[in-house]
Amino acid sequence: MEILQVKNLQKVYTTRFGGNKVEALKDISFSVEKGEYVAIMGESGSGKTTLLNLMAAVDRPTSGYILLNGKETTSIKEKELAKFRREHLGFVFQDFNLLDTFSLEDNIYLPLVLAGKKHKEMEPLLMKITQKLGIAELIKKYPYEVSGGQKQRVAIARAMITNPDILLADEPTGALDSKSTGDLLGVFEQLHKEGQTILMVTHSVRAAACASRVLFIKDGEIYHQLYKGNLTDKEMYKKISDSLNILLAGGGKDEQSFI
Amino acid sequence: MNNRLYRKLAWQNIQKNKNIFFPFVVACVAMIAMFYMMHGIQMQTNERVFYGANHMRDILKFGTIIMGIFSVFVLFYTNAFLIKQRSKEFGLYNILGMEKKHIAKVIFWEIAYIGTGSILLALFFGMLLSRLMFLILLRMLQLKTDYDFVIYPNSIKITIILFMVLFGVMIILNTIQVYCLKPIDLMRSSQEGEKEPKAKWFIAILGVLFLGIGYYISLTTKNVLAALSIFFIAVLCVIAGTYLLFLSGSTVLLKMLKKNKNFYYHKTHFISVSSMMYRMKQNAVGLANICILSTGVLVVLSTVVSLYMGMNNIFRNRYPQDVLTSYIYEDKEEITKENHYNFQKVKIALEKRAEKKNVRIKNYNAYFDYNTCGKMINNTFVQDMDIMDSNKMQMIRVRLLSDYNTDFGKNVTLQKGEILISNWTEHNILEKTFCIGKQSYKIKEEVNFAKGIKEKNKIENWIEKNKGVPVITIIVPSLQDMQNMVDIINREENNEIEKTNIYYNLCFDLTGNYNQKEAFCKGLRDAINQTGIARLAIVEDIFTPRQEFLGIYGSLFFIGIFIGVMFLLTTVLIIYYKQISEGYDDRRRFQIMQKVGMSKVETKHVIQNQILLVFFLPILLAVIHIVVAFDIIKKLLLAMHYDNTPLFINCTIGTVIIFVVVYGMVYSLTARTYHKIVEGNS
Repeated sequence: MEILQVKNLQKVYTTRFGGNKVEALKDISFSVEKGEYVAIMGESGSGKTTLLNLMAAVDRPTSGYILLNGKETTSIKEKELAKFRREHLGFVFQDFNLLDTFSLEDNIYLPLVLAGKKHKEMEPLLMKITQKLGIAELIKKYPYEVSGGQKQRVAIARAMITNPDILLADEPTGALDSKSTGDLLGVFEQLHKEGQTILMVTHSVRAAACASRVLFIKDGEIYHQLYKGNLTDKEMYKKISDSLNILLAGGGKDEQSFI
Repeated sequence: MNNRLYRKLAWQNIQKNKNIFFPFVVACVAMIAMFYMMHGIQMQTNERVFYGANHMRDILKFGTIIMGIFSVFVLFYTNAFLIKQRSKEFGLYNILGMEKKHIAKVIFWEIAYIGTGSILLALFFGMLLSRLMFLILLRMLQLKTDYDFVIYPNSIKITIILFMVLFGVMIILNTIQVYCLKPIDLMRSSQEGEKEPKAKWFIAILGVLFLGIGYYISLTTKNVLAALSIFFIAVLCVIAGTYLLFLSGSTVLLKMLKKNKNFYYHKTHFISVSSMMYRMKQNAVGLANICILSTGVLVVLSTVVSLYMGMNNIFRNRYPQDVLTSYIYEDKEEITKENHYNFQKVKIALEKRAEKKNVRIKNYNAYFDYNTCGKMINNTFVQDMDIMDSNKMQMIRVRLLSDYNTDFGKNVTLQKGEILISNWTEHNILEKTFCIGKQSYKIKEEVNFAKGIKEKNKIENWIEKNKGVPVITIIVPSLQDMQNMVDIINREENNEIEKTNIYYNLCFDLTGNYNQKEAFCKGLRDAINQTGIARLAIVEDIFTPRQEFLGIYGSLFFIGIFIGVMFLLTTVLIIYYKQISEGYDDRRRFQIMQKVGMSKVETKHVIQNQILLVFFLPILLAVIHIVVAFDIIKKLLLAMHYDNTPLFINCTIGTVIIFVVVYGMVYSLTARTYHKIVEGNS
């Protein structure tokens, strides 16, 4: 079943004085099946973040549409957007975005509190998710008291506690050392196995190698995609590296045929 | 790099940082202009010689000094804030290759521009307004003057010197600050985690205690003397209590709210409670400052406005009748031949004088009375001037039955040893006798002078209210009884040196125009003495001191307004800067919350709540302070013969309303800037 469908997405930014137009996304179409783990790769400036922002409904496309669970997210009213994001999407960011005035526990509660849930309802959810992510003992601490990897787990717990349709991760391993990165990818893997749909934007080949499908974006277009199939992480890593080499060496889409 | 570049850079900095420089410049201009005006007005009073001018000059001089000190304090405070706010910018310069001495040069030019600009602007406005202010002051004093534009070189000189030095010191301080900078510290994100503040129960309890003591003093002080001696202590207690409460009480309260899970995990409370906790930790002192300053503004403004508006009332209280003459009645031998004091002769002399001065005398009032202070121990009066016991201070007044019967149209008779008494049960004394020393008097009846008024001007002499000290009036059958009572008191207290005496009072009102009345009173004492009357003690009239009164109350009013405006300006400045600097801290937090699923509307709502709380918490406490202090201030005003409580209430309410409106305007301005910062990108 398709949970996410992106169709002919185009985004044009106009500079403040109207003169220059920058086409961040030219024409992007793809879809994500329920339970799929998709990585999106691309260089800086390729349009990854724009794409993620559009999917998160933070920004609106110039043309094209996005269907989430059959509902068109691009036409949701401004007023209902926050609610929509809260109920259907979970976010994980590179710089964690935890609030340092809250304890970890309260950080995880945040989306539920914003949704107006009672404390009684929230407590079991918190227990479940923190145990799963192995941070149950930490939750009384404050963000400045724990490591980067632990912070990112808390961020994942915060994203997952609402049981979102899709988990959007923006460079989740970008600020972590290699050991923490390994641990965190393990967490994503585990979530994926439990049937969680994950969409991850990343620079890291290692992170992308864990995904079941990798999309490559260049100059605002989908340039290439790889399916993992039955490949091991290692083999997938190699394939991604090769693709990236072509991506980096070559110029546009046309040049692909020469290699 | 040459000087022109620094100057250009400095100028650009000022323009780019309009948000924080503009209020600073406004504050500078206002402070300097007010100082100049104050000084100028003081100089102008030097030239004019009128009755009361010397009092006015003293008050104005005092006001000028206060203004000077205060503006120095405020400008340094603001400057410190500015430098702190911009340290990141300086760090960036440093990293981009400017040496510290170069940065110092830029800072020098910034302050030089701002300083020169403010002084020039301030002098311009000051010159324009100072003459106007002086005219207003003279109008208040009911003096006439011609309008001529005068510039006081002396005031200009002093203003320029004072503020040049001030800005100079500012440059030095800022330069030191720049040399202490470590660019690495500055560039590092300021978002580093901060420990959650601990709830300091002990300090919170101490705060409540201090506030409680202050409030208790204010609410239980019984009379003027006690109020005068203890007011300062109460003020100190309340100030200490306010600081301690802001420092810890807020954290304690918020922690308690946080413990209540059902309250805490609620959309709006959740964010407010936790961010308020940090906010209070950083801002406790600032908010306490605002609270104290606001209280100061309200007290100063409401009292000076009341005093000024109630001046006529004050006058009448101080001088119930136009003219009062008092004679000591003491000589034992004279009691038997009461004719010794030939007041008929005095009256004739007065009438003659009135005719000569074209005025008419009316409302003669003549009576014997005896006044003394002490305290009541149950039903026994003890003369005791111990100031430590001022809360128990009791005034005793003795009058004659015949005066009472005449003035109130009664026909009461008293046996020997019997008295009439007022305010007896009001003091919760249930005894049927009144004692002085070993002598006891039987109370025949308790009387109330406020009731049964026959002739208003006669009653004025009987009314006991608003003397600042509670009064018990005792009415005795004869002058002989009065003298006996006085003898007992003098003997009990061994008043050999300072004997207390009975007075004979002769009061009257005058009709005629003001100048004639004034002329009548001028030299009245000599005229009475010429009649050969014995022991003339007091001659006073309502006309002679009028100008002096006007001078004192007028300049108090004037200074009160100036200082009030300055306090208000300071308050507003502090809160504006607080809010702006917090905007930058809060921005990231609100961005995260929006990412996690808070809508724009909710964000706005939460921000609004938060600013509202931070803004109005100090004001709320200030208003509570005022309400509690109302009673003691009322008593203090009695020391200035002010007793118009309704007017005082109205003035207080009026000042509070004006203050809140001005404050509210600043609030909305600040809230807008804050919104812009918080919602701004990057």
